[in-house]
Amino acid sequence: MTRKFSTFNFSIGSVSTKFILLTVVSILMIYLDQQGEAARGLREKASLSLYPIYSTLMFFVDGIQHIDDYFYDRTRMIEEIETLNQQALIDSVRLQTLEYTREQNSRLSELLNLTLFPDDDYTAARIVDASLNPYEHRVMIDAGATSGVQESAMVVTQGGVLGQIMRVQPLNSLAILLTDPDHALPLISLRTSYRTIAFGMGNNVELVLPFITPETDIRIGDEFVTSGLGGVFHPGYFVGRISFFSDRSEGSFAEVRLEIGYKMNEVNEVLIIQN
Amino acid sequence: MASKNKSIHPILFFSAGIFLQILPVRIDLIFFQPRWVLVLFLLSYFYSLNLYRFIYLYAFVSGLFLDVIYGSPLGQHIFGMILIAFLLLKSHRMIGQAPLIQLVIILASFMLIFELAMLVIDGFVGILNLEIKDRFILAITSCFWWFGLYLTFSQLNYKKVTNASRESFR
Repeated sequence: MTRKFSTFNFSIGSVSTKFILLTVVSILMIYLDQQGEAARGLREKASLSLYPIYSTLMFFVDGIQHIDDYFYDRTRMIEEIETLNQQALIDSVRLQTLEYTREQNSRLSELLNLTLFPDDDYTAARIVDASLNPYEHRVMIDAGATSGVQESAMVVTQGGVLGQIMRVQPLNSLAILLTDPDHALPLISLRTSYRTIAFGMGNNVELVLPFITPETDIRIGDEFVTSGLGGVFHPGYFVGRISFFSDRSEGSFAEVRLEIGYKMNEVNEVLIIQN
Repeated sequence: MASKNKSIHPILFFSAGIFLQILPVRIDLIFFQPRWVLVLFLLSYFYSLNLYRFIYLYAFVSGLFLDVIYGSPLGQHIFGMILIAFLLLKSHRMIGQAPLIQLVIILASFMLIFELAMLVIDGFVGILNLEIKDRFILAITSCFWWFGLYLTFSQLNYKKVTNASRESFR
């Protein structure tokens, strides 16, 4: 016997009944997911079952990368090594003074009875997927709960702070970037110690600092680091430099933009700093 | 050359869809990446006889994986995929008899409906992932890929599932 399914038929097992039931299930899932932890188990299981596919894919991507590296132009490689050697030299000189500054800082903090932030605990990871449309700047990182990653942990890269972990899955995690329009970050100026908040603008290059009055002492090129206020981001990590300052904008605040210290398109490896 | 009598199992389409969906692409090419899972789901409708048994299951599981891949609210893409499965089943006679150009237009409208459903759910949960223009581009890109793959499969001589074979299979 063949059943007709071109007309609306609401008997048990019909196309329409199944559709309505599954629609109710999916709406219920959306509701539960928005309410909190209820749908978390299912998401984790689905994520785990995707892991073999991720691993296989990354195996092939790595293979292609290795082949690409093998045939990499020798001259460019030598130039790159020279640049890296110079950078290593500069960094080692800076490190010599860092230990002394650190010790001095801890003595001063003890004198002032301040609480020191403990040493940071790093987890190295790699970006496996990116969503960088103007309304959502997020990346998937190949380290999850099994690597000790926690929600709201800070993510940094060579050029500065990248973002923070917003969702942890067993084997990978989702990070929201500083440039996401929904993201805000407390900052401090290295030159003036002026504290402010930076928001993402939805582009890969700049953040906006909307609460700076025209008379504030801000110059193009001023460097900003994380202030540590709010307790999510550790203090002292480089964020970016002022790239635009105009006190002629309409309203009570100046128009200020901060250029982040890396090119998003070139970021592959990251460090997750645990809370 | 593939046999004329062979129908492709939906699991192959499903795996290929998931695999392509999570394949990292260059950031500047991100808007040219279609919704692979949806494209291959629609392709499997024409080249996989077994799909009729599992069409809602296929839609549900692929929607679930899409939600995990995109980090969207769990259930959002499930609803979208189920909606497409329902539309396919309801319009199967029209789809089965339509010439290729009409078929492309019908499936493009399905893809737009999918994007519209995602946009509505985004609005309900209070997030804005992509605006209408970007979703339109995504639907058109997906449609182009579907068209290209459909023609390729036709050239490869795979057996196309007809309405009559579906009816008899059920």
